[in-house]
Amino acid sequence: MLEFQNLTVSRDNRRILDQLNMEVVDGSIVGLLGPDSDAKRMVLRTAAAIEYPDEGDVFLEGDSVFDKKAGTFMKYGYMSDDHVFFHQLKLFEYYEMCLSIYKIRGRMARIRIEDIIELLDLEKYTDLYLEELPLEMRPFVSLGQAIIHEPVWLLLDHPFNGLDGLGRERMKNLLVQFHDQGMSILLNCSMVPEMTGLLTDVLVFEEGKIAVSGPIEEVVEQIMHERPVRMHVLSNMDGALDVLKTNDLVERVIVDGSHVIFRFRGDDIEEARLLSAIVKNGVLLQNYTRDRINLDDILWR
Amino acid sequence: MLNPLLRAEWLREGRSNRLAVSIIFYNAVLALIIILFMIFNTESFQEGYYFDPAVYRFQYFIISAIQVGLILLFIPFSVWGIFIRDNDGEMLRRYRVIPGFSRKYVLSKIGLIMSIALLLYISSLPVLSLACIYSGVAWTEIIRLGFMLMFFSFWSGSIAVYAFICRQNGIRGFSLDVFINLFFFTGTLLLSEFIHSVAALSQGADAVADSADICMLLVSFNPLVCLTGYLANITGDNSVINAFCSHIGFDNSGKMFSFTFFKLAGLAGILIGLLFLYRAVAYLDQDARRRDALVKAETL
Repeated sequence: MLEFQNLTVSRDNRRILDQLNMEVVDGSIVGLLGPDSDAKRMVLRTAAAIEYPDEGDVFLEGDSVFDKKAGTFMKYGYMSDDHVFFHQLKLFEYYEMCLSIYKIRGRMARIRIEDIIELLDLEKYTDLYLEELPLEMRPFVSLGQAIIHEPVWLLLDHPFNGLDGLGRERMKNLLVQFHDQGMSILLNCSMVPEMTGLLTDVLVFEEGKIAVSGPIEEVVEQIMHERPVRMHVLSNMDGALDVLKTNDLVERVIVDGSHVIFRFRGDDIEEARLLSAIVKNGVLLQNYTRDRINLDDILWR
Repeated sequence: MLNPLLRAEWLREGRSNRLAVSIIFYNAVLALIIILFMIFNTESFQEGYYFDPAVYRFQYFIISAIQVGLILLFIPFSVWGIFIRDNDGEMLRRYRVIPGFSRKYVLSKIGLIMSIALLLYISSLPVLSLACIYSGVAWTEIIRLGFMLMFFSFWSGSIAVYAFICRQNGIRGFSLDVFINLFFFTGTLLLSEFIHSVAALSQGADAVADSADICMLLVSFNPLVCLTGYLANITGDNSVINAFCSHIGFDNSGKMFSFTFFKLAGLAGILIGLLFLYRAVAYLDQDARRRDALVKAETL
């Protein structure tokens, strides 16, 4: 389990994370969504022990990630969104250096690198310097660096950036494959169509705090359910407003000409009862609908 | 390889244009000096291949001194270039949680700097050999010059590595590097002069004698002392150190002085280099929470 306890991070006189408490269970693929890109990025960077918090701690399987002696650095792999490389090295040399930092050398390192290159379909690029790589291959090289020491957790910052449709599909298939092999994944991403089939849970960040969290289906349903209701009233507007004002589940009622817009917090049955009450009160309705929203507008950043 | 970062550093440096340009420029300067000597001493060649070795002895003296000067001038800029390239900062932040990484990182930098200095020295061997032949200086002086260049590259490189690690900004790192170098080159001399003057003015002859020991100890931390000893060995002229010793009232007539003082200065230089490398590793290893908090405080 990856656990964040009272995590507070401030940079440049601005609170980025504010008393964040959350747990990410093993075996999940969790997407960090929402408009607060700084907070999402900071969550990953503190989990990877790249940034240190002002308060709080991050625990991976019970050990603090900032504790050098605990050796948690072997358990996670981090992929940055800017694909940090040493551009004058070749692919094999770069991976060899990364493995050596984790004290994996010799024949074992060579076998591991060859496996990674084959898995990520990078055989064609082994003779190129990293600065000569096509842009669409750089996320995969970066992913290779993250998984090269066989971690159990992956912390991925915008892994789909810079990829076209085919590339995103390939990246998604790789992440699913890693998940099936037992890796847990925490990724910062935009809500693109591929995500709905990939993520098991989502965390939506706003202003340094978690606004919504949970399994993706529940979160989407919750968001969809909070869309405003729009009624077109042909007659007896006062009757409609009376019914709405007396219902505790109705909030933020706005009258726009012959349209009434409000939010309803109840479930489908309660909503049906509300509609029946309005009609019974002699209100003539021409239209009762939920406003369309673009899910990406809420989850896309 | 024990230090994976050193191999990566050498590959990166070897594949850049900078190393080749450095070697060409370095050897061009030395070759120019040889040519200038030949031009200004053409009369020596008028009677067959007869020439005056005494004149050419100073050619070797000048070439040796310029080599050391080029190394001392070259290293701060070279280290600046090494540190600002290619996402080093991000890699450092990503891997600093791994035990031993800071030490390997610092050692890779100083290893690269000394490797470059060694390469420059080796590339200058033809020029040095020619100067050696003309001047009649023993070939062992070339070996000694090699050790001298390694000493100065280690000393200067250690300080530069420390400066650029402690200051995130390249300009600030360069400024700190220059400041520390100036402190050791001129500050030790000025400080010893200050101590001698205060002693002479305030407390008379006994105090001057005591202060002479302190002044010599201070001056031994000046790396140019080693260079002075080496150059004196070539020319046979020890007047610089003699003048300083007589100025501060130190008796350097004993045989042990020549044997120990320059060796002591060399040892002091190596220890100072090791100290700066240790401080650089310690700086990287210190609690990064405190460092990030300091960065936050500086931006507030």
